[in-house]
Amino acid sequence: MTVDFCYNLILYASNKAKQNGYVSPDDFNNIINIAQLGFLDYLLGEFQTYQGGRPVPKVQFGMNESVRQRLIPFINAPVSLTVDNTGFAAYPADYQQMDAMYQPDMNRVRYVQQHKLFSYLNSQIDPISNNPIYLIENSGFRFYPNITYNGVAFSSAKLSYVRTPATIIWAYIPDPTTSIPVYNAGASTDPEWFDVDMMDIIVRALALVGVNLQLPQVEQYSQIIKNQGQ
Amino acid sequence: MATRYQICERILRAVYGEQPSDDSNATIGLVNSWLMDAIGAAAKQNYKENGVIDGIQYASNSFYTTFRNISIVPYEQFIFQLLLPQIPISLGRNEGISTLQFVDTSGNVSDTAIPLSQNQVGIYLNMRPVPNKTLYYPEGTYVYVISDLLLDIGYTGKIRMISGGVSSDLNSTLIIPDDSMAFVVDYCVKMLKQERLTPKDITDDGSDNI
Repeated sequence: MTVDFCYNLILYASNKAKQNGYVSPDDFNNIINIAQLGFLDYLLGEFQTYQGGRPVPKVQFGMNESVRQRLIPFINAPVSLTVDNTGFAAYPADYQQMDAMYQPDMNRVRYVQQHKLFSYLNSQIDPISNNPIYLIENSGFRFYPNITYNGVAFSSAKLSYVRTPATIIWAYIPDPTTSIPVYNAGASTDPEWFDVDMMDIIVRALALVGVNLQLPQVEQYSQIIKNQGQ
Repeated sequence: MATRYQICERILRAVYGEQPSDDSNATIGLVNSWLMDAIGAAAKQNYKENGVIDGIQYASNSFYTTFRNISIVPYEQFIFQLLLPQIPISLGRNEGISTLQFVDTSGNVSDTAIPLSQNQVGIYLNMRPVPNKTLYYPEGTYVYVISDLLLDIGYTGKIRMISGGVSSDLNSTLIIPDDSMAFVVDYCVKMLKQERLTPKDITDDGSDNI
């Protein structure tokens, strides 16, 4: 789906040619990107839908093939991480969320939370020397074993992750006579999502348009689509 | 027959209801460690069941494994020590071990040594030695052999004992008869599910919730 199609659909839904309002290209570029991040958050799993004592959202990445399929445009083949002597490897620049971590030989590397680190480091049933683990820190991953901790080298890992979607841009050139924005396909960035998912994102964008233009019909339409499907 | 790894994998799938996730806490190593306990419990169960069926308690042959080339070291005068691959299962007085023999450098195998219970050890040590007879008694992970032949020179031990096989080798066959496998799997699944279902202390907040 092209970004131009998205923009026109949003203009149509917000009744731009009539008395209600108009969504400018800049507004569109803002709301569509907020909407796609909102949808990404929804697919990755929203904390709000956790149940008491059961931290599993209604929809979550990895829940089934269908959810994963929707995120596939943002999951590249595993990348190699270079791990330094302290066990640290920085996040990739477009890192959004963890998918899987492997050793170079495709054996797993387990995730551990900081407050359980002691138990894992001292396990004799699963010693870290052949059952490596990693933690997440503010700027990257921390692997054990490592040279600094116990003198055992762990120099690389393979990471599969969900990356940040590219920013959607509806680029334009003002018409020299009317100053009306004219779509510039060459400078625009189309959404990377599958078409069916773009409908979800457009509905989220329409909710923002409805709030902005105080159009209850648009908000209601958006809510109905979100609750009942397309 | 299945390898240890295959049994561990089956147990993990039963615990998780599917292929375990990469961050699963129950590991093959953990399951393997529970297998040792399960094999012991299965052997004891088999021992009791045979008592009900036959009127005599014994462990079925399928549970036994032969270990060879066990080193023999001198312990005290006329007493030699063998280190077992695992502590024998405590069936009867010492039925965890069925036979002990010695093999010389030419491959000749001795008659079986005579087992002693712990009570009999004290009695025997106060007796005149029985000529040409070798006796032994197990203690924990060791077997002590009473012999006036210098067993530490040119001999190795060959022992039959109840064992699930080599626990450190996940590719080795798990020595468990199929009719006891269900018991072993049930035991491990029960213990692992108990771990999964136990409420977790999810924060380091100074409160030791169990």
